[in-house]
Amino acid sequence: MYHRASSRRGRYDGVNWLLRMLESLGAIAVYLFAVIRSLVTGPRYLGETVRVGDILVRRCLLPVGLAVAPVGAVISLQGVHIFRSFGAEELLSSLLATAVFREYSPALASVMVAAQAGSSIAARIGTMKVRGQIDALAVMSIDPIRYVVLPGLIACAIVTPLLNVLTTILGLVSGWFFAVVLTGCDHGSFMANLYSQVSMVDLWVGMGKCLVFGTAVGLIAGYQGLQTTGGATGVGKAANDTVTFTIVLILVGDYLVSMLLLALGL
Amino acid sequence: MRFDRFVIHAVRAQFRGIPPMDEFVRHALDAGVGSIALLTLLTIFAGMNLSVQAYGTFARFGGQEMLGLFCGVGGIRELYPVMAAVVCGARIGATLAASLANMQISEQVEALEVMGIDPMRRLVAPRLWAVTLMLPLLCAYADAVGICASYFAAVHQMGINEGVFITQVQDIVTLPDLLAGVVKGVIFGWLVALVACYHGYRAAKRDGAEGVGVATNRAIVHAAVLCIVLNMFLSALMYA
Amino acid sequence: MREGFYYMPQTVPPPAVTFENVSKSFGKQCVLDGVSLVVPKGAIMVMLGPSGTGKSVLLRCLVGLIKPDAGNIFVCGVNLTGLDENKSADRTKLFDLRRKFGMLFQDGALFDDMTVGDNVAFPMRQHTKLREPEIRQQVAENLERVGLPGVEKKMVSELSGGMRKRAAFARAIALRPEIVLCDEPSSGLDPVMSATLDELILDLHHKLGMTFIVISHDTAEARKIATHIGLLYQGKLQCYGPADHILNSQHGHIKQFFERKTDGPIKVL
Repeated sequence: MYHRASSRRGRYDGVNWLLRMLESLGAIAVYLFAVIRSLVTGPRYLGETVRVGDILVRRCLLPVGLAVAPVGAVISLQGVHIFRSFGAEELLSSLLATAVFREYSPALASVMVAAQAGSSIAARIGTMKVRGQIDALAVMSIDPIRYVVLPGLIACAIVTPLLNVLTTILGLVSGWFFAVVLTGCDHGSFMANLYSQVSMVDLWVGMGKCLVFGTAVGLIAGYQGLQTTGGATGVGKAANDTVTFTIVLILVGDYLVSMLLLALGL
Repeated sequence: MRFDRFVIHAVRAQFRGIPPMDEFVRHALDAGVGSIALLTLLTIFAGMNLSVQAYGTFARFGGQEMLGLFCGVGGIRELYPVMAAVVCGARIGATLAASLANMQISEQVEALEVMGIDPMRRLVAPRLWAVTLMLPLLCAYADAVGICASYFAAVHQMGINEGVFITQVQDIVTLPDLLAGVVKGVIFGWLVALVACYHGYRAAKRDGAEGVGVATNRAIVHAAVLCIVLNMFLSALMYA
Repeated sequence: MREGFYYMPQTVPPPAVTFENVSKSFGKQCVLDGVSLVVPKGAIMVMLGPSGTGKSVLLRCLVGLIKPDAGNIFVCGVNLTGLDENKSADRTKLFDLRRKFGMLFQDGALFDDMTVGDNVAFPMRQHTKLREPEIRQQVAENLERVGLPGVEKKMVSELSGGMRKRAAFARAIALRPEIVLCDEPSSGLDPVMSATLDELILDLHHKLGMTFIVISHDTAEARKIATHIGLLYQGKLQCYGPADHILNSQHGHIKQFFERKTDGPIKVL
């Protein structure tokens, strides 16, 4: 289903490259179409989706938590210096909250989900592909996309925003800890100013970003996994490429969203 | 093999004489040159994003003019070194782990042992050296690209006065800051390589392709988390 | 004398390999249980047995990759098991002993980041002080001997399964070792390719006088090349001796294995 025509090394390497690009684009288009079709029509393997989601949450909780808490801490740490020199210490908490809600929480939650879930899903599907299990499913009349890719996709899409909530809280808590407990900012003014610059828009934007990025992780991991060739080395490459592409997507997308919001005056 | 014993063997292998040069050069080029394109792309976007976000945030306080300070401090001290370490470290770590795991499951490591070659010296030590030396260079590169990207976004998209921006950056960023970024790069590089090689080396033959996947996955996650958490401690140490 | 074991005369040159009551367990699973055998110099010993019964472990104990729990292993008269990896004097002895071996792994275990030529040259470059032109010449010679002339520049991934095994063979014999170990050389190969590999073993044995220890579950191979045959089942060496005695033996395990029958003392788990 996802076989690629072999490309011979000839004198026309430029044309070869172009052909391979077109092949890839075609394969991606076919894949996206298949995914959308599986989303819309049945049968759906809800049991599998729940199982994958459960594993995902358990595996991602620790890395995501460990990744975000330091960011809040570092923002406080560096921010305190700047703000103290301006005598505007109480602004630190609102900077922290805005940065965490709008930017670092969704970005980091997505990046860590990409690193953990993306690479493990791609590796799992890739292993199934090189061991012939994907073909085995097809022969048993089970659509691999429905059974293997879609549960991962839905699980990622749902779990990433949920993790975002956790990371926001963690980021704020660790920022508070560094600011109030360690560097001696005033607790009262910290809490008072915390939500002064944060609005519901920030929250929705953050969750929306996570939903989109999570879906992207699931999609890319599924595609890379199904396209794995070349035995065990291919599996490592699939996982690696998934993480690379997703991180690029997240950072570029993040930037575009920021520009958009700025243009819209939010 | 437990992690502490692996570290002892690896460090012993790494510092006992010069590692095989051909392996070292190959891995260094792989890690350095292979990451440059990705790092450039990501740092440009991260730098521009930093300016945009900071502008949006500071505009709420009326403090747009502080943009240069924030981009200088936030960027050079924190964002660019950590981003280089996390993104490149995760990628490089994945490649190291995958290649070592693959060699384990196809008995190539055993073949080396049978031929009387110490796999730690031939395989692990060059990888450690390559990444330890390459990552700080990548961090420095990220600093340079990032600050240019921030400048571009601040001046051409947000309309900040370029003279003010540059002066602020020059005021707030000192040589120790730049050196701190490089030192972070060395520490991150060494630890990422160590963890990645550990996961790759641990792959067992009977796991086959799955072993490679697991090793890669673990290397990526541990590298990323390690860099971020360690960065917090290092920053606290250097700046508090 | 136990049934299935044939008296081994005291050989005048010391035997290539001697196992004395070697045992090894992994956790609760006993993989080798009191294995004792002698491989004379210049023999081709084929160790048969059902899959997963510890034949590979036997081989790995021989090269010192695995340390047995009990018993002694002698290689050309030197006690391998007595060597302690942590003592540097012993490490040199282990190193010297390993140089007596060449090993052919099940999937070849060629280094896939090097060309075939570099793979075959690897042991020479690492352990000898030969100059490049000499090394290249020897590589070409070895590859021709195994029937792969002119593949030096190819990468490992470009070779087929049979070619890979032969290239690995060329690497195994690069330093003209005294003892060549083969871990299931014909697994995954078609009959013609297996026959080619068998001919290769016989050829090298005849021309270079090497001792061969072959792990296999291919009875045709055993019939063709073996001078000595052993059968390992459930960790125990069920029988061992010169090939013509074993092949004509009425021993239950041997009969079942060679006649490919399901009923007999060997049970499938």
